[in-house]
Amino acid sequence: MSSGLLSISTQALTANQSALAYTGQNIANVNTEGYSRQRVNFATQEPPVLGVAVQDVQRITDQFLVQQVWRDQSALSSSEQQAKKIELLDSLMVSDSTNLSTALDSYFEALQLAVDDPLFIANRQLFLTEADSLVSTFKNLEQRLENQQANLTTEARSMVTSINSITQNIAQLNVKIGSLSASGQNINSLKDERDQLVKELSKYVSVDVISSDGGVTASVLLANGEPLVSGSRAAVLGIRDGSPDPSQIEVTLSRGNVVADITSLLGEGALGGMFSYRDTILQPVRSEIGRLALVFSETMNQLHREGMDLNGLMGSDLFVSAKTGQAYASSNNQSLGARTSLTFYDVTQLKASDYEVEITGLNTFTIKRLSDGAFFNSSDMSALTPSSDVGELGSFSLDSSGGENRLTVKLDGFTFSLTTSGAAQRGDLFLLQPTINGARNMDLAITRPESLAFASPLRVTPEPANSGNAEVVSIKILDSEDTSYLRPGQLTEPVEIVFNALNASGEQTYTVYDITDPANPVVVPINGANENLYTAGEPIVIPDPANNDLFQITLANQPNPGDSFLVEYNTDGVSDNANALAMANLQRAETSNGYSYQDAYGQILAEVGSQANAIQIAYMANQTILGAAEDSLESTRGVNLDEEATRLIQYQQAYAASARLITTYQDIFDSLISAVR
Amino acid sequence: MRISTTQLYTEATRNMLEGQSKLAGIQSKISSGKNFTSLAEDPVGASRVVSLKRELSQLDTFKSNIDSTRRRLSLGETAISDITNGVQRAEELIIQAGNGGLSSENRLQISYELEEMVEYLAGLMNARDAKGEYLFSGSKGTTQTFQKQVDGTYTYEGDSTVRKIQVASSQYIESTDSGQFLFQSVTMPAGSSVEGNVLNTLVQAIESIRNDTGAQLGDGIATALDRLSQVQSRLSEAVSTIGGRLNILDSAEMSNEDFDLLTQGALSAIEDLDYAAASTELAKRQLALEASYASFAKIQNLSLFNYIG
Repeated sequence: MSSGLLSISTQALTANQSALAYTGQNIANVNTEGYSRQRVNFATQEPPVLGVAVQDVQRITDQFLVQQVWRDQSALSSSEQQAKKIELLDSLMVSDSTNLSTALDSYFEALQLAVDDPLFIANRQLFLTEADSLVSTFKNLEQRLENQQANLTTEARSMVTSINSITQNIAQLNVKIGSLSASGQNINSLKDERDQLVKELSKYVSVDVISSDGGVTASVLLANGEPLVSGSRAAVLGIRDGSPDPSQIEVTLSRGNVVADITSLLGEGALGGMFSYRDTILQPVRSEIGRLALVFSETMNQLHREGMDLNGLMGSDLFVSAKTGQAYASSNNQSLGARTSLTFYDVTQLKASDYEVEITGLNTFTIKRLSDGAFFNSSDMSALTPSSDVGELGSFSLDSSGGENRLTVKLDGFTFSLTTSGAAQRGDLFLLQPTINGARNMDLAITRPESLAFASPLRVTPEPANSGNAEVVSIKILDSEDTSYLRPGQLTEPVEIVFNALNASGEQTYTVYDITDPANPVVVPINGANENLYTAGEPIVIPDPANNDLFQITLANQPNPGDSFLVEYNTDGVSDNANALAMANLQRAETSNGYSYQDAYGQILAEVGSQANAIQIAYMANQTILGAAEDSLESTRGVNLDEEATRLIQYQQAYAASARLITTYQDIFDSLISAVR
Repeated sequence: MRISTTQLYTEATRNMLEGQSKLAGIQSKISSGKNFTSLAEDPVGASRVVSLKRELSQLDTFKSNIDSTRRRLSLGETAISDITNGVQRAEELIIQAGNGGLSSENRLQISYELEEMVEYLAGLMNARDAKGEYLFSGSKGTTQTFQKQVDGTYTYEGDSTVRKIQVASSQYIESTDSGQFLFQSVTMPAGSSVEGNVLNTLVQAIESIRNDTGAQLGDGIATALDRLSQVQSRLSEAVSTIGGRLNILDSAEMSNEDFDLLTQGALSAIEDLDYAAASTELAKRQLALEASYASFAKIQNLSLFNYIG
């Protein structure tokens, strides 16, 4: 019985020593990130044996909270990544050097100077300089956006490298924990280490961890279930050029020989956040800027082509603008000999969006507008004929000749055509980016100030003998594509508008005469009629012999019968500013989906601003959420020094008492010996 | 609730960092004087700023358009008033020539003076601006307005185009008058090959004063006087429309200035910082940060280890 006391005290000494050691371990690791405090649990010996034993060393944590922290970490890293990127975009767009609106203001100010004094060469030169600087502003802005996209690639590569090394480490830890656990050793701190690695990993992608053997082996999965680490094997992530658009990189996962694109499966985390920034913010902004550049150049070009320059020649394009958009074919496409083209039929109708075309069957296809997810089905589209207007739903035509099939689709201002030998194959995909090149490919086309077409090519002269008070309000060229009838120095068809005697109903009518031979005027019928009703303020449209509308003259007030207006080429009309004025008026015109150029730019700013604002709010909220989860977890697993101090005293006293048992035993033993002696 | 020791520190760090970043935010606003330094802070404001700045830039343009239009109109007005005076002098001379008591010698003298007057008036009607552009040639600014023909008469070489200038967001003003309107104001008999203007009227009058006598001379003088009155009525019509346009310029300028003030005000309301509110905010945030410093200093002293051992 007495020797039992010795054994009890030895056990107690060992047990409390061990408890003191772990108290020490806890105190030592008070600042170790991810450390879970450990507690030594005592238990009595199996009766009838007396004594105490260390039952286990418990790792105090809460695996649900740990998982919660991982999820919240992914959400935070995603919004942090997006917030940082959009902050760059934000500061890029508010900075004056890329401020398109300021450049547009300067452009129009210079244009107005030319309106004041179109003959003055210095004004023309200044306008060209400002136009050039506007082009540079467009290009710089796009260049910087492009750089941001290129930086994303570099960053994605380094993130993927980190992910690969983390998953490799987790796989190795799985092996180590398995073997230590088999030999019954303490694996608590290795588990902490592994949880910490998973937390690092969740900064990049959303992950789930499952374990089928009570937490010895951890399998790490992507949010959709794709395994990243299973047991001792880690999958390898990589980066490759995107498909169909190679500049939009994608993330791959390789297991053995199988390589899969997992870009859309990344969930949150910095990597996922980066792609979501690219797809929902950067790419749309680039498309918007490109569209604005296209709309601006084309609407300016159209007017400029309707004008006459200082040398009496018709204006040419003022800006070089992209004539085609980007069309990419998916690398998995099966159609033979496929060729694509993407052109524009009306830039002002373009939307700043990418489109996905999918061949869905024999002669059927769908188009998805990625900006708003709108679906266009070939079965809803009208047939495309040369004269048909393209409706909201688009129009298309299919024809085959010479063994080739040709699909032509018109939608939202662009024309997509696909030529294949034989039928296009079901499942083939094409990515269309109509406006992405708009700013990059913009340039100034005119370098000589004399070539600026600020004058109207037509001169309308009222006959001096006119007795009515009708006067010319405006002259407009109707077809800016073909101005060949406006030959330098002469109009191939000079005309005279003559007001006739009032008709039977007392209304004023007019007749248009071709006066190519002034001595022998020939009536030009308008809509088949020789005499047409005159309404003040309504344009008088002059057609060519083939009945194409060439130009229109608008008069105000009332002419008298016999009054006439001569329309001829504006030879020597160097001081005329009519076309420059029309160009200047474009500043406020609703050229771009109901917005003026600058309002459209303001819309882009507001869009970027509100997205930045929303992301910042999400970022701050996610900080709070992660903070709360980490707080809960820390309050469970973290070391409290006061608590450890208490335990230190508690175990120290138990240890002292146990030691006292030995001296007690010795005293008893000594008493016994001396009694016996 | 159980708290781990590190939580005390992380919590304190978090509070202080947040306090500092808020303080830095308000500090950057105060130093820039701007209400927002990024689009995110006021997305709608940012797009409003774009359109308000465009308004201001256009108002600037309108101001310079008004100034240059005023200069151009005044230039035209001066020339027209000189021409009007010249025409009056010519009228006096012609009336004088019609005086039956004059000798043919006297009439010849008058005709010489009238010839000079034709040259003088032609010079005025061919007026050019400082950059050499013909004022009254319509759109044909490099073409001399009136050309003297071999028979001594003048033809108008310009056209009837006038230049329109934008002086307010929806207001356009004609900054020039064509010679066609100003000077080609005389109705000539049907079939006449001579254009109806003051120069040709005087050329024909000189012809008549030199060569005609009696009733023929009387007819010539009466025709000339009738035509000169047509010339003068057109000139005075022109002067009054120019005056009207100058008045419109003045009122456009005034309303533009009002609009400019309004726009500046609207822009400032969006863009400029309210310093009073900002400095209150600064003080508040400073106080909060100081409080978190003070509480941390107190808490970090507490430890059981200070009492045992």
